[in-house]
Amino acid sequence: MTYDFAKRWMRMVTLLVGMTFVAFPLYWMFMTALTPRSELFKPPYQLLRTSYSLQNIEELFSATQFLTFMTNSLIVAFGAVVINVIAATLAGYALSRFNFRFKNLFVASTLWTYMFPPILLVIPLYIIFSAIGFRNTYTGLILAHVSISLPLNIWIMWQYFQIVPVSLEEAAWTSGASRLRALWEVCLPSALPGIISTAIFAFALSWNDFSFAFILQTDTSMYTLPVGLATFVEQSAIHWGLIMASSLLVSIPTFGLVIFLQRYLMQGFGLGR
Amino acid sequence: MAVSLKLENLTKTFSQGGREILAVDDLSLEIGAGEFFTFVGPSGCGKTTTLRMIVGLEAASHGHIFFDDEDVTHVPTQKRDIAMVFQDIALFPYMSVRQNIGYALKVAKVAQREIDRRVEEAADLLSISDKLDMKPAQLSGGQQQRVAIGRAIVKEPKVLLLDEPLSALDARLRVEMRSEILSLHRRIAATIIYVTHDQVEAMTMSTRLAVMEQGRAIQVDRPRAVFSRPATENVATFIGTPAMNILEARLVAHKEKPVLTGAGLNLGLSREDAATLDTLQRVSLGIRPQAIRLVPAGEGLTTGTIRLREPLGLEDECLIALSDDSSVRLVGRVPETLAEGTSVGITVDRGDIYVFHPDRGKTLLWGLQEPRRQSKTAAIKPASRTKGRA
Repeated sequence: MTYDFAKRWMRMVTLLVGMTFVAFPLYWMFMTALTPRSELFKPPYQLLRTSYSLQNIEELFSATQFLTFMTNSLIVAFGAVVINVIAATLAGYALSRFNFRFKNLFVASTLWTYMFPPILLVIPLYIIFSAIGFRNTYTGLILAHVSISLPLNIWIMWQYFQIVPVSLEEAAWTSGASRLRALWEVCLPSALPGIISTAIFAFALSWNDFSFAFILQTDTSMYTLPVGLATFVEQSAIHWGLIMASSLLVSIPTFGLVIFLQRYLMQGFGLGR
Repeated sequence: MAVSLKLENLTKTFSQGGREILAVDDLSLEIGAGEFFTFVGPSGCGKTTTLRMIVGLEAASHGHIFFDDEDVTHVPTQKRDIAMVFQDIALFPYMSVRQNIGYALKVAKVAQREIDRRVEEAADLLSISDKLDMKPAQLSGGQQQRVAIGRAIVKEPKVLLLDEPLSALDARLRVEMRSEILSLHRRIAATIIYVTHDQVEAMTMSTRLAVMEQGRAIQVDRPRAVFSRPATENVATFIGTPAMNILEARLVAHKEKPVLTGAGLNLGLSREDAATLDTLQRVSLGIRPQAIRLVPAGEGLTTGTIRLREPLGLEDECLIALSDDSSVRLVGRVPETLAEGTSVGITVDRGDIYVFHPDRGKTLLWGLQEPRRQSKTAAIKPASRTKGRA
C-alpha cells in the first residue's frame, strides 16, 4: 500500500520536474510577449505579472514585415504538405504492392539521403537553384523542404500500406473497381492516419526550417518566419518583446494542429514496433 | 446466367528466394454451369492459387481458363464478371453494410434507386436487413460473413468464388453457414467454386470436388464417389472422419494360396485380386473406422484390446491395439460393458477393405473378393473390384 503510494508520488514528481523543463520556456515566451517593452527589463524580474499589454503584438504588425513572413511560411508549408502527401502516398503504395528491381536499394537510399544534415545539402542546392532561377522562389524552397521530409514520409506510408490488407483492394477489384479507384475508395481511408502523420511531419519541418530559407531566400520579402524572426536580432539591439510576440503567434498554428491531430500522430509514430 | 468453366493445363510457378516453386501443376478440369465445385486439400496444395487464377488475381504461368467458350486467361479481374468471398472476409471498414453490399453496383454505375432495391433484396435473403446502417466492426463474425456474401451475390455474378469463407467462424456457426450457403446455391443461378481445407465442408456441400495435392488434382468426382472409391491412400485418409485406418500387410503364399497377412489379419485372396497385386510383396490396407465391427474375443478376423473409449454420443470412438503394435480406430455402437483394457474380436466385411500400393499410394483394390470360385454371390461389392487408374 505505502509502496504503491510512494511509487505513484515518485512518478508524479518526476513528471512535474520534466514538465517544468518543457513548459517553462513556453510560459516565459507567453509572459514576455505580453509585457510592454518599458517594463521588460525593469527589475525586479517577476515570475508572475499582473499587468499585460498587446503592445508588442501591435508593433509586430505595424512596424515589421511579420505578415509577409507569415504568408511566405504558410505558402511554403502548404506546398510542402501537398507534395509530400501525394508523393509519399503513391510511392508508399507502389513499394508495398509491387515488386520491382532494386526496390530495397531504392528504399535504403531514400533513408540515406535523410541522414544528411540540411546544411550539407543547402550549399549545392544554392548553386543549382541559382543556375535554374529557383532562388527566392516558393517553388525552390518548397522543393528543398520536400527533399528533407519526403524520404521519411515515403517510409511511413510504405509501412502503413503494408498493414492495409491486400484483400480489401482485391475485394474492390472483384467488385469491378479499377486499381486507382480501389486505392482511392478502399485503401486511402484505411491509410488516413498515415497520411495525416506525413502531413504533420511535412508541415512541422517546413514551418520550423531555418537553414534552407536563410540561405536560399536572399530577398527579405521572401523570408519565412524563422528567418524573419532572426532579423529582430540587430547588432545594436535585441527586440525580445517582438521576438517573443512573433514566437507566440508562430507557435499557435502548430499547437492547434498537433492537438487536433494528436490521435493520428501517435498512431503513426507507433508503427513498426 | 451461370457459366461453365474449363481449366486447360493451368500452371503457376512462383519464384521464391531464387527457387522456382510449382504451386499449380498442369491442372486440367471442367466445371459445369451451375455446379457447386469444391477444391479441397491441405494447406499449400495449390487450391487457393487455382481459385485466384480463376478470379484473375494471379496470372497463370501456362495454360488457359475458359468461361463457357471465351478464353479469359488474360482478361483483368474487373471484367470477368465474377464475385469472390475472401478468407478474411475483407469488408470495407469505413463503409456501412449498405455501402459494402452495394459497392459493386455503385462501381457499375447502377441507379441509386436500383442499388437500394437490390441491396435490400440481398440483405433480406441473408437476414441482415436490420444491420444495413451499421459498420462492419459492429457486427458479429457470422453477420460479417453474411455481408461479405451479400456483397458478392448482389451483382449476380456468373461465377461466385469462395475462399475458405467459414474458416474464421466458430464451429457452431460454421455448420449453420454451411447450410445457408447451400440453400443460397439453390436460389441463385451461379456456378459456385469453393475452396476449403475442411473435408467435411467439401463432402457436404459440393456437387463435385477436386482433391488437390502438390498442385495437382488427384481425384475429381462426386463426394460419394470420392469417399467410396478414393484414387489414392492420401485421398482415402483425407476424406472421412475419423481418418481411414492404414495397416501394413505382406503378401505371402499359404498352402500355395495367396494370403494377405499383417496386424493379426490373415486374408485369403481371390485369383483376380492376387493377379491385381501381381508381384508386390507389401501393401497397405485401408479400413474405415465405421466399417469395423466388434465381436466376442476369439471370433472375427483378429483380436485386439480396447485402449481408449471416447464417447461421441450415440456412438463411441475406440482405439483398439492389435497384436503387432499397430492399432485401429473404430466408430460405432459399443456395448457399455466393454471397458478400456477389454480384449475383443474385430471383423470387417471383405468388401470394405481397400488395398493401396505401398510406395505410390495408388488404390489397387476397392474391397476384397471372396477367395473361392463362386465369388460372384459372396462378394459384397462385386462392382468395386476394378483396377485403379494406371
